[in-house]
Amino acid sequence: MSVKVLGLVNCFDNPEFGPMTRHRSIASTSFLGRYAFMDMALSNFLNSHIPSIGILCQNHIRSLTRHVGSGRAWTSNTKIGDFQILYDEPNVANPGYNTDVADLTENRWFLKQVNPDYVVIAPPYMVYEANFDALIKDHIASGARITMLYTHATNLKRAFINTNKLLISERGKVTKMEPNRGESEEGDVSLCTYIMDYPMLESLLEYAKGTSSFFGLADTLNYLSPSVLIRAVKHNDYVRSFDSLSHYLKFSLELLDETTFHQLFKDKWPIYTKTYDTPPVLYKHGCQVENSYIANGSIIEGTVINSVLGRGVVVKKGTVIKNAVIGSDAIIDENTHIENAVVDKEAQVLHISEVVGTLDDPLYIARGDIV
Amino acid sequence: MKEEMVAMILAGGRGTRLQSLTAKVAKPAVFFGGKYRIIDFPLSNVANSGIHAVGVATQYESTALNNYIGTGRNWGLNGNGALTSILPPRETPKGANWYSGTADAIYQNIDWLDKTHCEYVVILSGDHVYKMDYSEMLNFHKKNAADVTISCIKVPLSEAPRFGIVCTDKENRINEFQEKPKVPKSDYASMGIYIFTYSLLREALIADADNKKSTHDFGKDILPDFLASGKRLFAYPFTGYWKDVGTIHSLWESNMDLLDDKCTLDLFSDEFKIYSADTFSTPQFISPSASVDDCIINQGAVIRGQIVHSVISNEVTVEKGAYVQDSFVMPGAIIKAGVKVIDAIVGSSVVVDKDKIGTPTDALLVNDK
Repeated sequence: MSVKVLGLVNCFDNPEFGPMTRHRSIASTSFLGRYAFMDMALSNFLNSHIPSIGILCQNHIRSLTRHVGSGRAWTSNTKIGDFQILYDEPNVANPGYNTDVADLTENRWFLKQVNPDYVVIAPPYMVYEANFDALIKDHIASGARITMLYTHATNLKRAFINTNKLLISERGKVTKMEPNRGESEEGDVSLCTYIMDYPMLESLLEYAKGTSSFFGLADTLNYLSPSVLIRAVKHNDYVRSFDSLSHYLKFSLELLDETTFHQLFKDKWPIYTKTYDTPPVLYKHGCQVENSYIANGSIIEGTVINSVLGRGVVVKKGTVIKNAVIGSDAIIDENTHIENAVVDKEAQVLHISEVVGTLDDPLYIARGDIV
Repeated sequence: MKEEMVAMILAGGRGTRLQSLTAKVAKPAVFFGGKYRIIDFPLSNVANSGIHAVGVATQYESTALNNYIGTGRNWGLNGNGALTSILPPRETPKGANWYSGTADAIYQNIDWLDKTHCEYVVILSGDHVYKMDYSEMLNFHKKNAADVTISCIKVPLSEAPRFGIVCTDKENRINEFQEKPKVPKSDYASMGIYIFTYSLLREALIADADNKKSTHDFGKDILPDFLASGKRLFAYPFTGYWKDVGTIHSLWESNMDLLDDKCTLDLFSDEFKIYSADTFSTPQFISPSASVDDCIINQGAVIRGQIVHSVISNEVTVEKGAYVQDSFVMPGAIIKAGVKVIDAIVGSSVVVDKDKIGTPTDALLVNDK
């Protein structure tokens, strides 16, 4: 790519999964056993040859830094590229003021240091594969200042709630944005993913600041959409907005379908993540495993069906795990029945024999809890 | 740089007994255990022993091995104050030389060793599978005021003729060597792991290089000379799991050992981890048609068939209806639908479309690409 691009993972105003995201952002929440959600956005950037990356951090900086470290896993050249967690320390305890606009303003030094031609902004909870290399070329060719990715959805009563619904003109311009309240099933929704030139980002920051100190980027674009040309580009492939605990479980299990999986995981499009140097999975004699993703370091003696297991999970004899997501280093003792549940990392299910919820209302066991 | 002990890994050998597995890569780069290459074991041991400088002498088909070792990053041996050096033979003002023996490989890198200002050198093979803390061996070396310490392991007397055998007194001081003896005098085998006091090693290597009759080999020349000249040689008693995976069958056996509950090579322990390259694989998928029983499977594998008592590496695909038993399948191999693989090693990226069946006493190598 001859133009210089900065990729920003926007962790502001991401949805919450209830108690699961009390101590972490969605960006650093476990995805499919061996990833964190932000790995998807970060790998899109790396695979699109975007050399410099910033993570806009609203809160939970401990959890973010723990996963990304120096960012080496998503940087191809550490001299030419740059990787920073961008944290707005003065405003972090001040919810109204703690916006992505304020964060970018506080960390303007980083924008100036990278001095990109173009900026890509993507949220970690919208999971999709996108080649920004090609998208930026199209953006440049179109002459537009701002491009917004969107998808056409047919399940808006249940999904993409509160995500901006778009009205798009025949010429592909966003004419109206308003949050999806689930009134109708069908419509076009924003992927909260933007491509713009750097001077445009700077003027958006200025405009936001001059309008309201509480304005975030989405508010600003929303406000400006009638008067500024925002080019809408449709993403036709797999997209899911992981925006609730129920969706977390359902969409994780949905990816057990190989066709769906390959809509997201493409050939020659590796997803990079932090390495933990865990050994391969050990399947003991007598175990039964069906239709599941099992991450390395796990030791399976019991039965695992339709489930996603993180690293180093121990499943003892006589236990049945079905339709569940189990976090890393969890221990499930003998003769336990786990179904439609999310067991967070390092939890130990020792004393109770049933952990059963429903797909719409999964039972959740918190991180490190012993039950 | 000033290090108490540095490591030198001998990784130049071809390993001809591994047949076509070493046609394009040196033996230390051969895959092992679903996730590893053999050299991950000595390199992880070095890191876990608190050693900061390691030289790896490479020679045969070294490109893949050199790429793999890189800066030592996979084993954390690339930080400030650390040094990982790949040491292939080189041209000098005296001309170009290949390494003519194990001792010669170290002799030609005396300049590298000098720059580390080390007091001791631990010399390792790049092709052994084991976990060992060399700092404990160094304590033993110092406690005995030894000139050389050789790590040794008890082997069944019937197998002793395959090894270099050492005879010791009660204090573990070595008084005799027997190289692959027909009638072994002891069951104590050298593991080819040596700690030398560097000043003595340096002198000996220089003298050996000038000796026209020498084969420049540690086992045949350097160590017998040390013994003959009355130096203090000690045997360090090692009791853990150790395997020289020199043949197809021993490579197969060693992989099968990982499935044995009694095997003391504990890959699952959080302490003393074995580090390896990250493969950026997708999650490991066990499909609805699969069955897995008593096996080790790495990330990136897609299992649709039946796996019994086997070790399956990353990016392996086992198709529906395929049956794999008592086998070790290397990365990227594809076992086609309906095919049976039993008592075999399947090479990396091999597509197996016919039944391949070895025996428990003679594992079959399947490596036709």
